[in-house]
Amino acid sequence: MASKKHSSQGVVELVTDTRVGPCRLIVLPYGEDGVFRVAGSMCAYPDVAAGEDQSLDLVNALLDKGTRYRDQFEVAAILDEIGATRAYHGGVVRTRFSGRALSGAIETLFAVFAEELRAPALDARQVDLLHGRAEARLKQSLQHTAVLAGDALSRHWFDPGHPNYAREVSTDLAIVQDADAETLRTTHAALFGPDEMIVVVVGDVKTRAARRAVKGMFDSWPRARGRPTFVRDGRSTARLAQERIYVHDKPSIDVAIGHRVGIDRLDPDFLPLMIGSFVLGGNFSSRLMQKIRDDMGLTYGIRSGLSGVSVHYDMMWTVNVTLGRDTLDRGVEAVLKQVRKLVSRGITDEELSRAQETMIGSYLVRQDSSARLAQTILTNTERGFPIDQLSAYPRQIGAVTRKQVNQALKKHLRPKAASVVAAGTVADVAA
Amino acid sequence: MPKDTRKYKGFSFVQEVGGIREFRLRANDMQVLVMDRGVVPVATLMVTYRVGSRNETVGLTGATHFLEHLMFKGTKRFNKRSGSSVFEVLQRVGAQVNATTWLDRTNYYEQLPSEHLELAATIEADRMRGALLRPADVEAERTVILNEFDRGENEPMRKLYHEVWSAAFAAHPYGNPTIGWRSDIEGVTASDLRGFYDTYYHPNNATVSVIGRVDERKALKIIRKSFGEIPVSKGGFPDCTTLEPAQKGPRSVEVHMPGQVGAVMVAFKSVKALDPDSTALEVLASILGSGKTSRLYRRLVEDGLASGVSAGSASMRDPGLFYVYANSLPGRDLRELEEAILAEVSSIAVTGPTHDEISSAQTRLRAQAAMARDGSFMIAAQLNEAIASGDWRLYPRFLEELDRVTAADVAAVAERTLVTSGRTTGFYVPAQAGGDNGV
Repeated sequence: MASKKHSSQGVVELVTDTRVGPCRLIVLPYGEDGVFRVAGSMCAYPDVAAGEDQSLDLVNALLDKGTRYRDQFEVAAILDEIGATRAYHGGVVRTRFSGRALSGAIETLFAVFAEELRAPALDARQVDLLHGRAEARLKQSLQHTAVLAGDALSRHWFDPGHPNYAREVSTDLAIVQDADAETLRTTHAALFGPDEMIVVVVGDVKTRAARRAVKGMFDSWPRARGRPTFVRDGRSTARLAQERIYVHDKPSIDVAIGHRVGIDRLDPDFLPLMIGSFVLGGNFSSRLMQKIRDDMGLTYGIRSGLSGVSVHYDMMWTVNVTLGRDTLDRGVEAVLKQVRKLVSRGITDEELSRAQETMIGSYLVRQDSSARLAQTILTNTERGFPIDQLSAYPRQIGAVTRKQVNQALKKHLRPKAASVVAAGTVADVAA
Repeated sequence: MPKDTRKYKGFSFVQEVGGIREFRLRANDMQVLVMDRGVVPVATLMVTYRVGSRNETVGLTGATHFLEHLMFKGTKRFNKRSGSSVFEVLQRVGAQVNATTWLDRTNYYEQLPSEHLELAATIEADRMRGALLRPADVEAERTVILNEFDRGENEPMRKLYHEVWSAAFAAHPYGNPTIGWRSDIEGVTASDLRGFYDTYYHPNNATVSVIGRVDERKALKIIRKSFGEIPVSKGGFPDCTTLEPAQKGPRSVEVHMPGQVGAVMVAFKSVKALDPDSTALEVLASILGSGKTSRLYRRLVEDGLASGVSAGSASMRDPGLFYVYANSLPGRDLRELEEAILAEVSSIAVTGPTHDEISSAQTRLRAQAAMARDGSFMIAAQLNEAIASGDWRLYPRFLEELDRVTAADVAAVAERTLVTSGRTTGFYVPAQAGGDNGV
């Protein structure tokens, strides 16, 4: 068992990073509130083009519905006894799990994680019930104009098989209806295993107790299929320049504006571009908020940023804004004008300095929560960053220059190419 | 006066409960709460004004919320024109800044590196009496708020929630949505809002909470320096005196909006937060609708009637609502879902809970309370609701009260609360062809 103590600033000094069986276990003893949090993940690599990520979601939704040894109510009673909750989430690269409990119950919580992840019941009755719940969830998403606009925008720029392509709800519904207990057991066998497994524990817990809890829990668990299948490359032009999705009785129009950006998280242009997007629409002081909301009074909410960020594939740049039916065209044009101005003239030294100070300060503020810390450490580790990324990130942000930001904006933001999708009670337009 | 060895210039120490220490700023009778906790040097400063939509009158619904927006439009000292707006100054140091309005209170907060606590206090003190509230700002913000209103109109579940509260409260202002009615938002004037501000925004109608990694002495010195010169209000603070008349029978509302999956909300008139029964109602909600072992999960979700269910008790300054909320499944009859909810509700009202259910609910709620102390903002936010309810000590004393709750207490409160005559049921009926069969 190799172990090393990381020495860096602040909380990083408290972190231990250990290998326990197939797991990389990272523990941060933090606070004295009598509780701890767990965030973990392992590689699953569902075949996105075949809709296997939807099947992975279905399996995840069944992990807390009983195991081969206990029904769901027995497990729920055990968790109630220790004041614990846990959840499982699918993904396009990894499948994630999270939990929390009162200190002293860590061994019980990990025993439940191991049993549910390794030996879920996946019985036919629960699969039948899941059909209804999954169908309800998917159909409910059709009521949300923000989801409709964002998903449609992704389809303009990514091909099926790319992790950032959002399938049509009707396609996902068909996958749900086709799933039965047998196919989900096959999905579980193929996609669940301790591949590159990471477990992060943050809270009022001792490192030794965490090691003891994880030890032996995931040993001898067969590896999953373990190879990426998603599409990494794609088109540089959109399928449509404009799309309007009519939904009856939705007076607030959700608008998504954006395009694909051909870089991933490891690209040297990522941080400069992120800062540039932040100046445009990252917070209440941003250009879009000041102009479109404060000066023009056109919207309650507007933001701009990079989404679908990963070290494995490229991402999206978007502006999301809600507008009234009567102000839709004026609002969209005002947004695009600000984007054009940003790209042509760049940001100022003052804006860079302000953005850097904001991002560095808010990064410290986020560390006030153990739940957020656990998620940040997990994400950093998944991306292959060292543990001291926690303290290095502010330095990385602080080192970005105005020249780098403005070059990244010119290189990667293309306001003329951006697609505009509006969802709500709008008039339809020809593409 | 309780004994405390620490003396701070300008303050009277009042009491300490659960690690939170209460002081009074003698110059203007402002309540101050301080809690030194946390690992990283971060703190939250929150100002809670004891005014919410509960204090609004006919024609002025939404005024509290509108005023909350205008509080970011500037003062002589901090304003956009000079590049020193609240957001520009505070977000620059990494602060999470915002404000919210609710039935009984309005709060403004900054979660930020502890070293910048004075900046937050200076800004909050400055806008307590120095907001400009210019007519031009009112006009510019009106469209912003109408857009916020329309966003809410898009959401069927939000509409359902409002419709149930509106139907349940015929006289009390809890029946009005906090954002206000559209025509009131369209009609309110700068003068109306100035009147509201001058009536309620004073130090003796506010509580300043400072939670996080702070030195108490330094924090109080900052508070005194920032707020100490603000005079006490000369007038009183008009209270809502309307009592909701006793409900004489079940009420029912329907929301027809586009969609494919319906929902049901069943609500009952409950007690105010300071009522001795309020903690027992929290336990009842947990037994009915929290987690897989809950009665409603087993009955509704496991029987394939609903995709999800929850129960809760809205503890307010005046009596609020105890409610059950369930999302239907596609194609299911909403009446069938309602009947299943009522069957479980009647069952616990008649037979009461078991001792095992009480014990599990207490453990669950204890754990939830512990988890909800994750960071200075979460603590300040919960304290904020307790202040609004009438006594900040509700927050630190919750666990004590929880331990005292017995099966007999829950049985009694269930029998009193879950009665047909105090019930309001709301249905979200998807209005799209091919969806639910409806009610």
